Amino acid sequence: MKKVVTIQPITRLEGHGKISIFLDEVGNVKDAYYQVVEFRGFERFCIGRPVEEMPIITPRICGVCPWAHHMASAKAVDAVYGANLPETAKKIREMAYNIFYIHDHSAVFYTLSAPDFVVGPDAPRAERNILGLIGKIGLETGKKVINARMIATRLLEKLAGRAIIPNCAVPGGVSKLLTEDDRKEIEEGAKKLVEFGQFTLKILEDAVLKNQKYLDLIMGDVYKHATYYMGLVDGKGLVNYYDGKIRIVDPKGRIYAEFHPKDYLNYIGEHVEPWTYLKFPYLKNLGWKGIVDGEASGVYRVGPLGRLNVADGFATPLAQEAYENFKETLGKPAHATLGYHWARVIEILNAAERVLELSRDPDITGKDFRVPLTDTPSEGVGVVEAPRGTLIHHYKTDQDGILTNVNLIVATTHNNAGICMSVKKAAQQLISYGKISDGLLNMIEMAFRAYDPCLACGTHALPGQIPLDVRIYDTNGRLVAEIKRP
Amino acid sequence: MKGRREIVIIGLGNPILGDDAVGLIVASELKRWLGDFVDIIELCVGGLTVAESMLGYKKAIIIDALVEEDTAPGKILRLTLEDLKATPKRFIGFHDMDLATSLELVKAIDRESFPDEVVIFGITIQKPGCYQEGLSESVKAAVPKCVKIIEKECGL
Repeated sequence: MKKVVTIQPITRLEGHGKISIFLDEVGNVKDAYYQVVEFRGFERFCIGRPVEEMPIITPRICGVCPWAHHMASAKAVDAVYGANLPETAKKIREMAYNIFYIHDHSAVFYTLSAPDFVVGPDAPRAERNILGLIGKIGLETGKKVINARMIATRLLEKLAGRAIIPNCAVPGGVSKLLTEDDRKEIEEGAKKLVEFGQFTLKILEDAVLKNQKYLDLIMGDVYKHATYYMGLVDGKGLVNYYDGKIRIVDPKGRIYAEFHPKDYLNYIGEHVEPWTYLKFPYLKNLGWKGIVDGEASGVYRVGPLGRLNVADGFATPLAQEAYENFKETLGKPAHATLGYHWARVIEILNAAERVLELSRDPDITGKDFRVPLTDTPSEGVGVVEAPRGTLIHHYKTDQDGILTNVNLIVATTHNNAGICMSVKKAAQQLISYGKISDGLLNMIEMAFRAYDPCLACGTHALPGQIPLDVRIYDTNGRLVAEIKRP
Repeated sequence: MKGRREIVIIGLGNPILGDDAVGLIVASELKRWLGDFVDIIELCVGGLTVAESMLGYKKAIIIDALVEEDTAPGKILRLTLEDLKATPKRFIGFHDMDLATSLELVKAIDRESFPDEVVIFGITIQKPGCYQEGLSESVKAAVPKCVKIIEKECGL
């Protein structure tokens, strides 16, 4: 009697997926798969278009992280033309990108992560949402969140003309200069965002870290995977979202590789499974050993947890202080999947501090904001750390700059194997000898929410409200149970 | 806050997902006729950002593509917040939070800045299958009709 449990759709998540759980003869979990069933072929849509259109087109892939695609795309186009950007342009881009981080991470923390912990993982489902959260922490906190996002929106408009679908980065530089008035406004806004970052960190510390039950949940075995990790680091080995080298550490935290983003194909392979459109990237030298963790497996993870695990720390003081506490509590590398939430909150603070720092940098109001593109276009790779993890854009063009090949690897794809492992472990805890515990959906959803997977990016689909459907199949492939989120 | 007019029109959609762009196209068309009287915003995102964009206005009008089973493409539905709550509609393009929840949330947090009235015009489409530009004939035909309806809705 082999059973399969399938879960779809997943509430408070960005995308559309289905979870299938296969049981063995005695009714215990044998395998669990997270399947993505939509596909839209964005890469093919781009071929034949002028490459300089990509920083405007690619943000349309996803309404959640348009800035990440915008920046990775602009960097890839810079590389296609061999453009070396002036300092002012680089810093304006980095500043805008850090503001976007605050905008995105704060929405994720307050709407997706915090309800589980602040309202409580055992609270009734009807209360374990953002409205329940506001009920618990008060309207004033809600206003602070909205206010911080409005500040971030306004600052992005200063830098890019519009906040949502950006046109800040142009091939070879940025679209506009910063005036002294703009700079002052950004500095004032950044001060408030630093305060907001500290406030958010305190919410997490008060609600989660001072609660032994939650800490046990975070550090317990159910959400732990000893994988490799990947992320960008700057020249000092510190976290950087906009630029740097790609560093990979092994499950013991030792540096496994560090390389220029253009060389990513030497390190990353992509495995394909017939049951999902989402590929499984893996470390090439280790090979694809299946959806398993450990030192011999090529599975790695990215995102806030990955960044904190690969880097030697943060370049800003308040985030560094919080990072030391994180490291002391969860160890390094931290394998606790729920540590993603904590890492995300530290990054809000770091991004705000970095915006403040850049707003006081004399280069930021410099006049040299773009270089002409003179090289014959050919091939380029652009990499940034999207909020959900490393984002790779790789373009090839003919000599007129018309795209002949496009490859994107997005954060959710890097994390595909990690997500599948988390689903399996959660299912193993809650399905025993064919008996399915009531908390199954919640445990699986909590694993998902840590990664905050964006299936819109992963599959380039644009779903609506998130579906979660778990189906359980027996050894004969017969559907024996189906649990759906309404 | 902007130098506020009383009404904001928010067109939603993705310009490279076929019929999903219809909300943006109606909003763009409305700019020609109503741009001097109301604020018109085109957004390619959903969730919280939509709700935040309407703060400070008395009335908000949202236009978006709507996937409605068993309904032919090109039909225009006028909905209110109560309709959304009563029968959740599947709008395309909302990742981080569905429209009803995000509106309810922002209203709860900032009731005094939230519009007194929110109206949603959903134009039915078939679920987008792949990235492409341009509207299908039946959805394209709904654009001028929707423009007329919204002009009336604005009382102009």
